[in-house]
Formats: sequence, C-alpha cells, structure tokens
Amino acid sequence: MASERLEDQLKEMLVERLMLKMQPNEIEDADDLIEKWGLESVQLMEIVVGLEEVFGIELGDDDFSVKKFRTIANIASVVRERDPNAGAQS
Amino acid sequence: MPNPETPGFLTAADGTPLHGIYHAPAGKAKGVCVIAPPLFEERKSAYGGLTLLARALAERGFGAFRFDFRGSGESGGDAGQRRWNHLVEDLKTAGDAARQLAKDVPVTLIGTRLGGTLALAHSSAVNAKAVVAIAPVLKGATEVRLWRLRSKMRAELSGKENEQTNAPSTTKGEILDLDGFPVAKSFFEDLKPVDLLGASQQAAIPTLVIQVSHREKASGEYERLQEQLGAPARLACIRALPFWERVDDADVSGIAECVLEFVTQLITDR
Repeated sequence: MASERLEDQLKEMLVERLMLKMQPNEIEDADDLIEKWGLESVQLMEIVVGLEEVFGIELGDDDFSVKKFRTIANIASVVRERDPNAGAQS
Repeated sequence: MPNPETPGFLTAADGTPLHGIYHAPAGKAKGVCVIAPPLFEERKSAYGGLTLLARALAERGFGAFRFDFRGSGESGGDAGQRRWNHLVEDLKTAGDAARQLAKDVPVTLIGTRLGGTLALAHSSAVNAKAVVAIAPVLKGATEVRLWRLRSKMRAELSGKENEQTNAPSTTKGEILDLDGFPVAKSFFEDLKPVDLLGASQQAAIPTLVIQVSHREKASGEYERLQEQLGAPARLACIRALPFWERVDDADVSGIAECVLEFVTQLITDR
C-alpha cells in the first residue's frame, strides 16, 4: 500500500473492509459514495473505524460531517489535514 | 419447524419485568446457553441473527435462552434510567431463569457486542461454566465516542440534524437521545472506564472470543485480549459482515458453527 496514492489506498480499504464485490479501481475519486455506490451510515462508520486503524486518525463528533465522507477525494482531504504525509509516494 | 420457543417474563430483583424466549431442545438439554444481546440500534439488527443462533443451539440439543435487557425490546424498565449495574443484574436474572428451565446442566453465557463485554466481565455473577463473547466492545470510551458519531451521521443522512440542534444527541436533563434511544448520561459515564484490554483479570472458565470482520486473521487488539485472558481463552476470527449492523441478509452460519463446536467440546470434556 505504501507506494500507492492515498486515494487508491482508501479505495482498497473501502472495498476490503466493506467486503464489496467490486474492484477498487471502479470507484472514481469524485464518486458520491452514498448516491452512486449506495453506502449507508453503517458503512460510513466502518470507514471511520478504518481510518483509525489504518491511519491512526481519531474522529470525534465535532470533526465529522457526512460531506467529508461523501467522496474518496473528501476522505483523502480529511486524512491529509491530520497527516500531511499520508499516502506520500515512497 | 424449529424446536419449541416459549416466550415469557422474568422478574429482576428490583421488580423490573424482563422478556425472554426459551428455545428448548428435543429431549433433555445437554447444556443451556444464555444469550445476551447488544443494546440500542445493534440490538434491533442482531435480533434475527441471535434467533437463528438460538435455534441452531436447540437443534443440536442445547437449551438457549434469549432475553432483552431492561429498557429494550419487550422488557420493562426505563432505558433513560438504565445503568451498567442494572445490566449485570439482568444478566444474573436471565442466568437464574435458564438454570430453572434446564436443570442440572452447565450454563454457557453468550454475549454479542456490549452483551459480550458484560459476559466476559461478569460471568461469575451468572455462575457460568463457560463464556462466548461475539465481537465484544473492547473499550467503553471508544464505543461511546463512536455511538455519538454514528448518531450525528444518521441525523445528517436523514436530514434531522437541525432538529437536534446540530448536536449528535439531544440532552433533556440527564437523559441523552442517542439516535432515538434514550440513554442516561450516567450510563455513558459507567461505560467509559470499561476496558477489556486494560483489565488484569484472567479468565477462570473456558472462554471463546469471536472477532467478526473482513479479516482472515484476528486483529492485534483481539490477540492482546486473548493473551490477557490467558490459557482458558480461545480466539476465533470469522470473516463475515457484522450481523448486528444488518437487518437484511445476516449470515450467522459461520458464527453458529463456531459456537456449537465450542459448547459441544465443553460437554465432551466434562
């Protein structure tokens, strides 16, 4: 994972953790995960937990808004805000 | 047709009526299992899966007693007044009932999520001979934070965030509205110090911890829990979607097989 773009790492994490029957590269950075891929609150929560486990990012309710988790690009921004080096090319 | 399922009410020591359902095996029970559910939204979603688990146990000759903690399901009691010690009391009441329903056989305590945490921490209150904890909540403080976050998320997704004054939960006196479920503020305070990974007590009875996730192998936290619980503890990792988060297509077959193997082995070892 270390040599991949952060966005690609996030797509892999999403497909793996949610056990989705699809390939990570089917998801575009700007896809609306709720509208296009039908993610629900339970799955968004799994992403939140994944960010904690994989990137060590702990979110409180004040940090959270659905908008920040609607697209891979937005989630990547959340990660970079807390860790500017996340997903840097190795 | 499933084995007979008998609903009824128990009475906790303080008079609170608790609803339970006994799944009887054909013939004399080899053992009896008390099934402690999760709380809040997870209880609703887990209902179907835990019913299937109880039926699977009954089919293999074990009595299975499912119940609702006070303030949830069909049990009485005020959810807004519920504290951690009430849950321990309810667990004990359910254990006593199971012992009456299937006499002179060992009791195994099976808990899911917060029910699993209770089972691990308070098996002695039930005088259980074994414990199964399915995806127990490991750290209360983390779970409280995630519950609040989930509540805010659901409010946003349903367009109700403004009704909740932009807060994850509304406060009415000392009672919080957690995604539609009343919770005593003090219950969260009770839960915050609960830390299975920080506890020093080793398991005194055979214990099975089941991690249910996308993983093929158990996570570091679960391995730490097993190590801490010591020799009587086994750790199983089931790759499946969490049934306590899904009302539809909950597949508990892998979990049920794992539990059945464990309780059957206990009988063989007696």
